[in-house]
Amino acid sequence: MDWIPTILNGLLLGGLYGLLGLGLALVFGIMRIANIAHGEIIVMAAFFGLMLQRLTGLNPLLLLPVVALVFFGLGYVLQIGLLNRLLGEDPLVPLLATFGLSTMLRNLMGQGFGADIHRLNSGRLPFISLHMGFANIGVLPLIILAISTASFVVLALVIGRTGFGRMVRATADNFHVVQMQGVNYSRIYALVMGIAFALTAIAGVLLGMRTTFTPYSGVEHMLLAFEVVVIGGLGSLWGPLLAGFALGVVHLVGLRLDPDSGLLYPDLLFFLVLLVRPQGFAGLRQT
Amino acid sequence: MKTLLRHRFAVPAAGISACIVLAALPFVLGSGDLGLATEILLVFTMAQMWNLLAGYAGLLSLGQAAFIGMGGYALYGVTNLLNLPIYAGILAAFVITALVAALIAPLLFRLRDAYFAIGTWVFAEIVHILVTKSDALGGSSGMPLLAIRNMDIDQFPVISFACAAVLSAGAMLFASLIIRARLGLALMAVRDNPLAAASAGIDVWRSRFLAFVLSAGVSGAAGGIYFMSTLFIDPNAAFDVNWTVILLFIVIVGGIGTLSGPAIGTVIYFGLRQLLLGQQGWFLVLMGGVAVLAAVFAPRGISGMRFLERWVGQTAP
Amino acid sequence: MKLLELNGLNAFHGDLQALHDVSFAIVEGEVVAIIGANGAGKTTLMRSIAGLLPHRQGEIIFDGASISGKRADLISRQGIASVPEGRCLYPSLSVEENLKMGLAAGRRGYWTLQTVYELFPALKDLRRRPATAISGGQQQMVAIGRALLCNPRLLLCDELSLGLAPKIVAEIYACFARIRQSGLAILLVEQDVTRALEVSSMVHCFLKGRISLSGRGDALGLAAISHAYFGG
Repeated sequence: MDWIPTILNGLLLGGLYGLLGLGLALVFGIMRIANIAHGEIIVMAAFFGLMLQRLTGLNPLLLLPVVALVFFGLGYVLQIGLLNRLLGEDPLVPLLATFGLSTMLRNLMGQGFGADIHRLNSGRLPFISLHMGFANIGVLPLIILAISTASFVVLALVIGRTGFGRMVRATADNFHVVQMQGVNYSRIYALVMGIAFALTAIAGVLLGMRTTFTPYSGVEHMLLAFEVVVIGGLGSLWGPLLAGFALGVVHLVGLRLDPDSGLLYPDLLFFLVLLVRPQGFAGLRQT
Repeated sequence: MKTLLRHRFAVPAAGISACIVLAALPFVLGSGDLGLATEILLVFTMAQMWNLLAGYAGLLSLGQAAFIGMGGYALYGVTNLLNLPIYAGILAAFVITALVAALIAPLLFRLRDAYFAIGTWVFAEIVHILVTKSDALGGSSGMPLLAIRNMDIDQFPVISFACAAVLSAGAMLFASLIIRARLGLALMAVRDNPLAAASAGIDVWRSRFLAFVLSAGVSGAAGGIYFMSTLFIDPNAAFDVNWTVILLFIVIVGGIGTLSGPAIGTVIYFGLRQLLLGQQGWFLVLMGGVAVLAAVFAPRGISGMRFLERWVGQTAP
Repeated sequence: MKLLELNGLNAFHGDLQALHDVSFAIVEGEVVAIIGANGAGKTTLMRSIAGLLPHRQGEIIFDGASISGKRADLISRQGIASVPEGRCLYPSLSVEENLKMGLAAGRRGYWTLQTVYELFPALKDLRRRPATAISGGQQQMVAIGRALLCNPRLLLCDELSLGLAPKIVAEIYACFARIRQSGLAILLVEQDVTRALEVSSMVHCFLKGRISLSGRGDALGLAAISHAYFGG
C-alpha cells in the first residue's frame, strides 16, 4: 500500500516529462532535427518566467500564455533564420548547430545569472494537497498534469483534425511534393518549431515551479526529453506521454529505493527499451 | 608552402622533429609549463581519437567524456584501491575503457545519426551517476591520487609528461598507420557511403566497432594520465560536458577527417585559452558559436568540413 | 493564347547537363505529350517547369509572366499542378486528406471534392482509407484528383501509366475528356507512345536532353518516331 503514493506521484511527474519531450518529438518527427538546445530552451523559459514574475508579481500559471507566445516567436525566428538553411542530406549538420547553440545559451545564461539556484514562486500552491483515502495528492502536480494532458490533446486535435495539421503531416511525409500543392514548407517548419518552442517553454515554467533550476540544468532535461522521445517511439503523438508516465514512475520508484541515484533508473530504462524494443512503445517509423 | 607540405617526406620528417622536441622539453621547461605541455599532448590525443570516430568512421560521439572520465577513475581505482603502480593504472585505463566500449557498442549501434550521438551522451550520464554514487571511488567529492606518496614529487611532472608524450606519439603513429591500412580505407568507405561499402564486401559493423573500441581505449588512457597529472579526480571534472565542447571545437577548427587537423585545432584551442584566461564562460560561448558557424558554412555535411585545408593545402588524407 | 512557353531551357543535375536548349509552347486547353527513352530528360523537364529544379538557364514563361527561378510553391499557386512520377501520395494521410491537399494551393474553380468524386466514383468509398492501402490504379486517381483540386490552368502528368495494368490505364485516360472540359491544358510524359499519340494534339520526342522530333500525332510516321526515340 505504501507504494501507491509513489506511483501516483510518478504518474503526475510523468505528465510533465511527457510535455518536456513533446516539443522535441514534434521537431524530430516533422523535420528530423535533433534540437540539442532543447534543455536550454526549458531553462531559458524558467528564467524568463522568473523575470516576468519579479516584474508583475503574478503566479507563474498566469504568465504561461505570455511565455508561450514569446517562445513561439523565438522558435519561428530560429527556424527561419538558421535551421531552415541547414536542412539537407546530412542530419548531423543541424545537430552540430543546435549543439553549438546549446553551449552558447548555457554559458550566456551562466554569465548572466551565475550559478545560483532558482525557483519560481507559486505562492501557496506547492503546499496544498488533496486528501484522498489512500494518498495525499499535491494540487500543483495535479494542475501540471492537467496542463500537460491538455497540451497533448490540443496538439493532437490540431495535427489530426485541422487543415494546418494536414499540411504539417503532408510536409513531414514529403516536403518536395507538398510544394506542388502550393505549400511553403519552410514556413510550415517555422510554425512547427514555434509550436514546439511554445510547448517546451510551458514545460519549462512548470518545471521551474516544481523544482529548482540553474543555467546548467538544461543538459539533464534535454537527455530526459530525448529518452521520452525514444521510448515513446517516433511517428506517434501519444507515445511521449506514455513514455513520460513510465519514466516518471521509474524515476520516483528508483529514488525511493536508491535515494541518490538521480536520473540513473530512467537512463537505464532507456537502454533497456533500446535493447528490447528499439522502436519504442508506439513506434511506427524506423529511426 | 603547399609544395613543401606535399613532399613525400613531410609527414615522417614532421613526426621525427616532433619526437626530438618532445624529448627535449623536460629539460627546458619548468614544472608549471611542463604540466601545460602534458595537458596539450593529452587533449591532442583525445581530439585525434574523436576525429577517428567522427571524421573517419562517421560516428559523432557526444559522450566521449564517458571514456575520458572512466579512464581517470580506472587509474585511480587501480592505484588507490589495489595499490598498483601508476603504469598499471594507465594500462587498466586503456583496457577497462576499451572493454566497456566493446560491451556498449552493440546497444549504441542500434541507433543512427542523431540518436547515436545523444545515446552516447546518455551513456556518459549513466557512468557519471554510477561513479558519483560509489563511495569507494570518492563519491561526489572525488579523491586524491594516493600513489603520489610513494613517488618523487619533483619528478612527477616529468613522469606525467613522459607518459603523455609516449601515448600521444603512439596514438599519432597508430592513427596514421590505421588510416593507410585496410581498416582506415574501410572506415572512409563506410563514412562516405555505408551501403556501397557493404556491397563491396566491407563489414560495416566490424569497422565501426573497432574504431569505436580503439578510440575509447586510447581516450581512456589519455583521461587516466590527465587526471593522474592533476593529482585529483572528481565526477564533475571527469564527466564534464565541456570535454565534448572542447574536442568538437578542436576537430572542427582543425578540420575533420584529416590527420593534421587535430594538431592544428589543439594549438588554436590552447592559444585562445591563454588569450581568454579568466574568461572561461565567454570562451565556451565562443566555442559554441564556432560550432554554429561551422554548421552554416559546412560545404558538404560534417565530413566535408576542412577549413584550414583550403588555405594550407592537404597534407595528409 | 500561349499558356506556357519554354525558350532555350538548359537544366543541370550538378555538373551534368540534362536538358539542352529546349524550346516549345503550349496553348490554352491543349494536350501536349512528351515521349522518349529513360534518361532522355522528360522528368527533368517536368521538374524544371514546376520549379523544383534549381539549376536552370533559359526562360520559362507562364501566362505571360516569367516563372524562371520562382519558388515551386508560388508556381503552383499561379496555376501549374503536378501529378508526379510514382504518384507520391502522403502515407500519413487518408485518401480524402490527400485530395484535400490540393485545396492548399488556394485556387477556386470547377474542381471541388464533389466534382472529383464524380470523376472517380471509386474513390468515394475509399476516402477514409490510408492512401497506401489502395491499389496502384486508385492511387493514380488520387494523385490526379489532388492535382485537379489545385484548379490549375496547366496540369503536368508524369508517367501516368507507370506500373499499371493496361485496363486500368485505359480507365484513367478515359477520364481525360472530362478533365479537359474544365479548360485546363495538359502536358504529359508517357512511356506508351501509342497512347501519347492518341490523346495529344502535339508530340515532342526527347533524346539525350534535346527535342529530336515534334509534330501532330497523326502526322508522324512510326519510322520517324522510332528514329527520334532511339537515335542513331
